[in-house]
Amino acid sequence: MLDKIESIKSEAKSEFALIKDDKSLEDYRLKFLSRNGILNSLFEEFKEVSKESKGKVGKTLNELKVYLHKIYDEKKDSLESLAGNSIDSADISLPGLKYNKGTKHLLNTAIDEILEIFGRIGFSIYESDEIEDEYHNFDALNTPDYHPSRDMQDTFYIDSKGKDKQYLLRTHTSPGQIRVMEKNTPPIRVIVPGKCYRNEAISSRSLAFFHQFEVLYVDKNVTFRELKGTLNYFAKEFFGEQLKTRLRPSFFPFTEPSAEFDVECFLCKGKGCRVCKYTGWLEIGGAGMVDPNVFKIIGYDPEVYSGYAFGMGLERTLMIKYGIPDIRLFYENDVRFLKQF
Amino acid sequence: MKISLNWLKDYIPGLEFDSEESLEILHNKMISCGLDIESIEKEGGIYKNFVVGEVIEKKKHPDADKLSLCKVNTGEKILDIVCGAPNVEEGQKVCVAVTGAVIPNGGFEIKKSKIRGETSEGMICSENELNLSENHDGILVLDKEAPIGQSFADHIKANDIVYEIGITPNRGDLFSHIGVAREIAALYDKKTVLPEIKFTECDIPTSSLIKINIENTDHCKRFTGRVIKNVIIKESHDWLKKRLKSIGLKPRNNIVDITNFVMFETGQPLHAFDFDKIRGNEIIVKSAKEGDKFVTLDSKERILNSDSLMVCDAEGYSGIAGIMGGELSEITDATKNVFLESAYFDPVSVRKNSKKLGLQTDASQRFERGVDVNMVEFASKRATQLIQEIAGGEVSKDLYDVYPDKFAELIVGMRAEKASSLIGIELSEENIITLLSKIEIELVKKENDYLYFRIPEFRRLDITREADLIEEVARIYGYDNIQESTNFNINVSNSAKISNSNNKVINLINNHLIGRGFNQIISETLIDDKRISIFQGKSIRLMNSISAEMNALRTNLTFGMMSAIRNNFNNSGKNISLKLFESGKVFFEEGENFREESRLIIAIAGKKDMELIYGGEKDFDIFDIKGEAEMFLSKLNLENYRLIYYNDKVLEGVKTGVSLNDELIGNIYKADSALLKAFDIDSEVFYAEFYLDKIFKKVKIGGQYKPVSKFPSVKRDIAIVVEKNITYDDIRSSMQKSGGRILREVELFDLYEDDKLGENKKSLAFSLEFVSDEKTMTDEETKKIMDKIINNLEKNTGARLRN
Repeated sequence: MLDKIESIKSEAKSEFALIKDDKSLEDYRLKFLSRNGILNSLFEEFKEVSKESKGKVGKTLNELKVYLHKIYDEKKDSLESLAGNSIDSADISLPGLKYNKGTKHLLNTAIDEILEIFGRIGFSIYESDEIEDEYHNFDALNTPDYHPSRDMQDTFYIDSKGKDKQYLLRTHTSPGQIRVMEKNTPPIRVIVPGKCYRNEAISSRSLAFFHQFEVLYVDKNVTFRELKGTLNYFAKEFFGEQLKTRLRPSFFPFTEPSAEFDVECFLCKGKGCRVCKYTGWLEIGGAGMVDPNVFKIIGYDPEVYSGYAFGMGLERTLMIKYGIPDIRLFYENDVRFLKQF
Repeated sequence: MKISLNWLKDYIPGLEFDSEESLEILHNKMISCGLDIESIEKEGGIYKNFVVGEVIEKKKHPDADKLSLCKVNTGEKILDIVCGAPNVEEGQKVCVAVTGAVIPNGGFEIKKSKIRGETSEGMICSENELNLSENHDGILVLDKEAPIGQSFADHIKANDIVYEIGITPNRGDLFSHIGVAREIAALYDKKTVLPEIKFTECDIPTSSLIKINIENTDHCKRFTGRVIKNVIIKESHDWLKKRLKSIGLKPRNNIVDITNFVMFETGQPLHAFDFDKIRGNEIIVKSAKEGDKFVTLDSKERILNSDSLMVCDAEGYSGIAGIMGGELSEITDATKNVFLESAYFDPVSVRKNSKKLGLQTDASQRFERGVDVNMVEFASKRATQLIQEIAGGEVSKDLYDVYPDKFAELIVGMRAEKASSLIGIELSEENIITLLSKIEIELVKKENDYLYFRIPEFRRLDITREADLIEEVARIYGYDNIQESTNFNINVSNSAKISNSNNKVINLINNHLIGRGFNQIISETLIDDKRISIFQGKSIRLMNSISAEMNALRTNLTFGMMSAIRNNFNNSGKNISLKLFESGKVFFEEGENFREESRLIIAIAGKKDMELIYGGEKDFDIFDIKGEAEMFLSKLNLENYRLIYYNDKVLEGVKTGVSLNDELIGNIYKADSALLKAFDIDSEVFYAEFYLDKIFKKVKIGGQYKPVSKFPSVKRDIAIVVEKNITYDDIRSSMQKSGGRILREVELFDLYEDDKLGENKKSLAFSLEFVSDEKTMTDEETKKIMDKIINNLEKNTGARLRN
């Protein structure tokens, strides 16, 4: 009898493993647990067992009964809960309910990142107008009329009939330097972002306008060393830790000394490639110590104050960073472009 | 400016570069001192895959009389070459273009091929094909000793390197080989050496042949002249032609080539006149008469102005001073006698004149950046020497030199302490003196804290102040050698005070709209004036636009938005869902002033984005943009706005004003058909434009906490039937007025129209939520207020309850 109970148990176990649905569950119940099922027939047999064996066999038989009912109940629950889920949707792999993916324009993403980088070292945002007068765009920046340095920037002049000044579209964000200094006293630590305009032929590399930002720091004892430290900090944060940087002597009318700021080409890591014209370097922006003439024009004493400025155009740098072949893509506003960033 | 390294080396004795590595060092030094190398061109570069070979066999081509079949030994192997030159012979050393070579004159690449059935594995080249001369009579035959297999570039010593150097406006002195040589000599602690001048003068003094008179001494500071008689005009010597060609100039004749050569050597522009065409043997430098005409040597007629400084003879104009000579006195093959001009013209005057005439030349470029007044004399003598050497002739005695106000020596002072504090490194007086002497800036005296330096004449315009000397110190010290400092001395409190930015609000707006599924665009600010006329308002016009399509500043953001929508429909079809926004400036003229305004535009067009799969393909409608506009205002906590409907029938209306405390802060639009037509859009477009400057003033991020009621809310539903012409707004405002503060929410949950309701009727169902701040509302109290609402609704709108 004990052997028989054992073999029924293992039979039940193996059949149980095959139960997948309500029907096979019912087959199991009929075979083992129903009135005419195996369990009941075992209890019938048990009546015939000798008195001395009854204790041991009875215990084992009861264990079997408990076991068979337990696994049946568990299976039933789990089948029911599965069935409950599939009432409404047969195919859970259908797409979720989505709406359009919103995106910030790549240029603004970059500007925000730059504002944040400089914000961390105390630069606050200063906004300046896109329509400027000749004085703030050129003269106050130590760029007199009929000086060859005016040729560095092709200017859009605005029809200023009936006005007391000649107006133009700012060719750089630098007039923001003059505006902020006119209204404040040092220390001044600002970043001026915005659109600038140049009267240039339209091509895959240049448009009539572009985005630039400018930083200016004026205080007592500001040094060229600090300018270098600031630029290196910016380059590391914006382009990545591992890139080398360099400053090359250059000329801007409103800074002295002046420098071009280069970073190691981030595509070839300085080895030389088509994008960096095999120099290993990319020209990023212009920088320098504020020219004492600018301070004199503002009314700051250049014997007391010194300062530095740095300006950078965004489009060309982003074109390289993101492999964008044509500058016009920034302004065609094709959602297939916009949604990539 | 193109600079030839071989040419440059003439002025720096002992400077040699014997390896790629030594050149690499040179380039890095040049860059570090500010010589901006824009490109590097190796002369031998065009002769890649050209080698010296020997013709070891020559046979007639079986099928062509004029062709020969040659076997040519190039050292590495023996090549079969079909050659068409009449002068090819066995035993000749020749230049062979092997597979891969690109013929300099023609640009085609050499490949193994068949010519009339015979294999040819290369080409024996002529001088013309190699761009060495115009000669294409036959192949170039090299001397017998030429080593077989040697690269052709090495054989002809084509080892020059030509740099294109970007020159900043302050460094006019670098517009010459001697100028660049000075910088490079300083980098190698060497000195430049000027060429030695040797020529013989005849007995006739220059002053007996010609008179020179400067009338306008403000604009012409020095004018020198000399006459060289009986020159022979011909082709220049090879060395001279080579120098000019190396920097991309085309040789003309010996006199013109010499004046060009000396300009690129010294930076001093010269002009050679045909002496016999100078009328009255007299030169007068004076300003032109406004409107006069003059034909320059490029055969173009120029209209002069009163700023035009002219070189004249006894009868009229002879040349535009410092810019271009005249056709009349040009050197021609028939010229016998030459008058050589070397002068100093005022930079600003030349620049003004050049700008007004729209004529920029190598000469004007140099004069307007300031030439070296001392070089005027040297350059004249140098050219005189070369003319005598190359063209022969008798040189008149003594340079005729009119230099009325001699330039005073330029002395500039600087303090070591100031240099140290600006650069941020410790510099002793000795350091500074040593650094500056490398670039010929010499100490003249020390006084108190100041070191006084003599500025060389060629830097007169660039170095006038202490700051300029400090820059030179930093440059020669090397920017690379200055250690960075990251001690940023942040002064936060002051920074916060200075900022004038609304970036916080802009960020809130951007983040909200991006979260709502909008794509930010940036569109063109410059647009076509004619297209602005679709909209109201006068635009600001540019004086010098590139094209009519960009001749004015935008007065709204609609133009850019419509263009973007059209482009996207064109690119991706009309079944897309477009949700776009832009914030930016628009521009107006207002009396005396120009005004800039910040605007925001939100637009939707095409299919509803959420519905593409599940809800069928519904188009966006006016309620989508209205909802977006209202959510936007709610996000900025601008809850007290009022909408003004400009049409009775809202659904077909074109414009809804959004006002806040009686100030218009924006408009919601359904684009009208004229606007859509103007942009070739045949779908509906809905958009809202907001006046950000007004919003910036009104928006409060955060604000005071308002207590939340401790008592539960009570909800009641109500369904009413009204005439169709009664608007939702009428009903809602009536209910809100009656409900007062206790009525917290009015939510429309059903709207339908049915004939069963009666003619011209519609039904609306609302859910109303009541909350008291003081107590839990009883059924009775709720009923009381509901009755009031219903009664007033009946009175105000004729509504009745639906059964």
